[in-house]
Amino acid sequence: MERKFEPLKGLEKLYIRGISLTPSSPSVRFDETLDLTVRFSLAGGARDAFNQETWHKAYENWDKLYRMTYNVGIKKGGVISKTLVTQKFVRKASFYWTRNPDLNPDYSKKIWVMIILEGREPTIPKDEGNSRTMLFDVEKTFRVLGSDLGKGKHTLKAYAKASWGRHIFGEKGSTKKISVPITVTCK
Amino acid sequence: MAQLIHIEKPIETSKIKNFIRQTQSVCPDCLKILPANVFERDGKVFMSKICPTHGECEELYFGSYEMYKKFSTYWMDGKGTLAPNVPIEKCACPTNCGLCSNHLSHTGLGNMIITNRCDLTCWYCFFYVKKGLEGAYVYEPTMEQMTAMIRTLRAQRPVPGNSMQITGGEPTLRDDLPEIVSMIKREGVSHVQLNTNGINIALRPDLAMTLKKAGVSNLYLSFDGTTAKTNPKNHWEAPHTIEACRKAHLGVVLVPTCIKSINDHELGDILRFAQTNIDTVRAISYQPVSLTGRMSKKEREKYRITIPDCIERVEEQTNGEVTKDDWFPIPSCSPVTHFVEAFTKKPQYELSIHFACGAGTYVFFDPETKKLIPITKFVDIKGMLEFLEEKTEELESGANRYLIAAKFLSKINSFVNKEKQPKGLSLAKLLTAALLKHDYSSVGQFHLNSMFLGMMHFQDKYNQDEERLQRCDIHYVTPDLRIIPFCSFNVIPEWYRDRIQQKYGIPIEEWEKKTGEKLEQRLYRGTMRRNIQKHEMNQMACATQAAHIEPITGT
Ligand code: SF4
Ligand SMILES: [Zn+2]
Repeated sequence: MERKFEPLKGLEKLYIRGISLTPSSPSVRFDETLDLTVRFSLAGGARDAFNQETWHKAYENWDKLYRMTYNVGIKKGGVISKTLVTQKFVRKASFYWTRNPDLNPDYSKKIWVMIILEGREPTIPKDEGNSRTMLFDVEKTFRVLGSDLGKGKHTLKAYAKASWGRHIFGEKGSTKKISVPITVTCK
Repeated sequence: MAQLIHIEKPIETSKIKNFIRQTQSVCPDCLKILPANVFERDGKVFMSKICPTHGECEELYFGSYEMYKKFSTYWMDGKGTLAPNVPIEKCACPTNCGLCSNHLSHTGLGNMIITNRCDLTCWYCFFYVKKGLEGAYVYEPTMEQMTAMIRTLRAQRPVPGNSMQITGGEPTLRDDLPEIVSMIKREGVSHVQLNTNGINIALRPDLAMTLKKAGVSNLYLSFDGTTAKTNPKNHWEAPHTIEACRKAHLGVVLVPTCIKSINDHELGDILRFAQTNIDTVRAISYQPVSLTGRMSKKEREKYRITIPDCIERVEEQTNGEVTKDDWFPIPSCSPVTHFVEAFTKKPQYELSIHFACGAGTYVFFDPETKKLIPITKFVDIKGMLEFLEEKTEELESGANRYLIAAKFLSKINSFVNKEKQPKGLSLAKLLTAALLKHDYSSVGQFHLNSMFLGMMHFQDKYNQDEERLQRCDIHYVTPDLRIIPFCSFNVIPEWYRDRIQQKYGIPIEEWEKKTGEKLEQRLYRGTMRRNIQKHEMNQMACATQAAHIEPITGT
């Protein structure tokens, strides 16, 4: 084993799909809170190739930890916007040799994944699809006060950036996207 | 070693409440390899397995689910060995240890048994050779055999074995011990630890200096409690052993075997005792007991203690000076190792054991407040590990190493709270020297007034987990030139330890004839205890509180 590999060729670069911002209510009182939920997914080659076969290749090449760094936030305003809230977090996929007979009935070298979400809660996904959801689908709810917005009508938009290093799943890179604006009123 | 293996069908995990993961284990009665479920109940983690012949065996696996979750986030498989002694395609742990091609950790600490004779006859010990047992043998490898064993260890790739423990029986019973130590050093091993009950050193303090000169780095001193009742082995002798080591500038690691209901109330006192000897005691290695022999469930429940339980006892018994949040699993060192690997582009020695096998922390002694300061009180360990992981990825993605070094230098201080950092210590400087320049000369500063606290839970037939075993990095070297994980060697002695030692041992009578000695001649007769006057007992005993001192029991 040696950490010497060429990332898989011909994979489409990861990109952000379907970013949206949803308020818990279209209006908020000055002294009340409002929940703003950002949702998006990463799509593309690395997501599609995030399966047991590629985990095995990664493992064999000492490429045992795959990290996704996310920057997610909400901006307020039109052309000149101001960041209202923002959060940076990392999700990790750690590849390991499983002896779970459900996943590895013949106990040969079968590599499975443990996903460590932000806040460091580890989870062993049930299947490959489940692992992709955990790593690449994001839903974040930010709680803001009406007073953070100020009285009046506001244009809000969510933004997201994802970045990653060089791994079997592709060269290092990043992607970002902004949601369609929404309007929220503070009374 | 080819074994006929039976693997049972797994149990449907969807039927198990609070299922965590499935692994493999053995039946404690017939050793059949079984699927085993690890699950949570009442905030604790249990393991359960069902043998078609012997029924279900359920055992406490980890005393806190919260801690299990925290520790499991550091799960990181290691480099393993690139030069396996047992090349094998398919994994069938624990039947082919040697190491086989499937093992996932290189040797972190190699053990070499140099004798199975002992100067004590502890009732619970199955290991030492005694007369009257059919087929009893004395196992004492020759210098040639030992040299070959060390060479096997050094032949490991990508990282040659570099840390050895000489063990027994009682290794100091071998008169050629200094020569054995010198041989190990000559073969290129840098760290040599001596596992001992310390009695011979207490009796002959000059031995400490002889061993130090020969190349012993530290003693691994059995120390089960601070009272004669909890530590019948060496309660009266251990202070003399430590004193001899102090004079020889030889470090000591105290090794308490922790047993629930026997000595688990003294884990804090052991730490206090170590604290009063911090100039010589470098570490404590708490070892939750592994239960050998046949035991009923009730008995096991009486004695079973796991790493989180010991950690909780330490918190209670130090009045919160060392809390449960201060401990990290051993594989949490991986981000540091991987950073150095990415920086130097050379494979490094790594501690890639399973997260449930061991934990550790560093504590510093503040002479002003007389309190212990765990490293977590002035270093953001989690933040630093995350940072190193990020920088490793950048290096591996082609970032310029000088740029990363600059980022490291500008950031490293932010993880250390200088106000709370013990006086005389500059951790940021030390880490910079060690991680970027590979200069470990200032590491001594780190050990000044500090102690490593470790927990290492060796397995037994009841809680054995092949996922842990496959990642074990504490190994035995054997005269058939194999390297065998600790928990195969000792958990299934009928396949490994006993078989190998019998093969390479000689009958007691033959040994007596050969050496002109009687086996019982070297037994410790308690001479140091007989001469102790009552008032001296109070001065010399290890107990930090006089109330703990028990009368001497028969020696
Ligand atoms: S414990 Fe290690 S050496 Fe032993 S059979 Fe399993 S993988 Fe091989
Ligand atoms: Zn059985």
